[in-house]
Amino acid sequence: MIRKELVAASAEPLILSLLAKGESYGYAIIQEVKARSDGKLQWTDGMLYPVLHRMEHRGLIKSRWAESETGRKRKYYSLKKDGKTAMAKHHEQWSLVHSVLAGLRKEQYV
Amino acid sequence: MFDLERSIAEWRKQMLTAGIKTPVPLEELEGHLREDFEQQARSGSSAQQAFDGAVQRIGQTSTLTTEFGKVGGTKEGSRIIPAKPLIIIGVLGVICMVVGSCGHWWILRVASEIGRFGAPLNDDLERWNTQSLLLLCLGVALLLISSIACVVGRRRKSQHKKEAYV
Repeated sequence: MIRKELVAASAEPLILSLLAKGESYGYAIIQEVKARSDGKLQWTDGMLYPVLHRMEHRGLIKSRWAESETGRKRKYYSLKKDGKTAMAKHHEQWSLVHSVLAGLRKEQYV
Repeated sequence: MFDLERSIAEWRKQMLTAGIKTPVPLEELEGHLREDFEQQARSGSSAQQAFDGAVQRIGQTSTLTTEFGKVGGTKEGSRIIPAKPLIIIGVLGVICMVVGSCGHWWILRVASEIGRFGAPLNDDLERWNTQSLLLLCLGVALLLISSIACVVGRRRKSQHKKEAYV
């Protein structure tokens, strides 16, 4: 299981990257993250929503209510222009951290 | 026997007591709870187990209330000065300045023409002159206000963007 600090730090870039593929809603976002990480990245479900609301408040994403296939109301989120910029920034920063870590790891085995 | 609607009503009551605001966060959380419940029930859990599991996964009401409180608590949005009113104030300022200075210039010209014939300025001209000068001052003030607000707004916006990317 991944440490909760890392889970919290990765929430925003993950949400932005998932929404870059198309609009989605809370439950689907959680399920996709769970599936893509083989269940190792687990959020407390309810905690996703304050994060989404905060991101919306900051103008990174927008939301709309629509009816699901079962007829229930669902809140769909999608990426805004500022969200795309933020996502690019996140990717840049996370890639940097990853390359530094990978470099150090490589040196250990040489 | 397990009653989903009654259990959800109980859960909603707990959320409201804890301070989760309605309608948006609670409606959204309830939608999530129902989807999770249905998913668990489909995979073979009993209705009671599916509901208890979904409630547990949603998280503690106190933590949720604190986190949702932070959303409204951050003043990032309100700190940013909207651009449109500033542009309107700035344009108004320029219009006032142009009208004021043109009026003043015109009055000075008329006054010099009158002065050539040795006649004193009449009261109307004096009043118009004061009004055009006041208009000029108002224009300068409006332009100054909008410029200062623009500079402050830009600083806040860049600060807000920096915070957003952290």
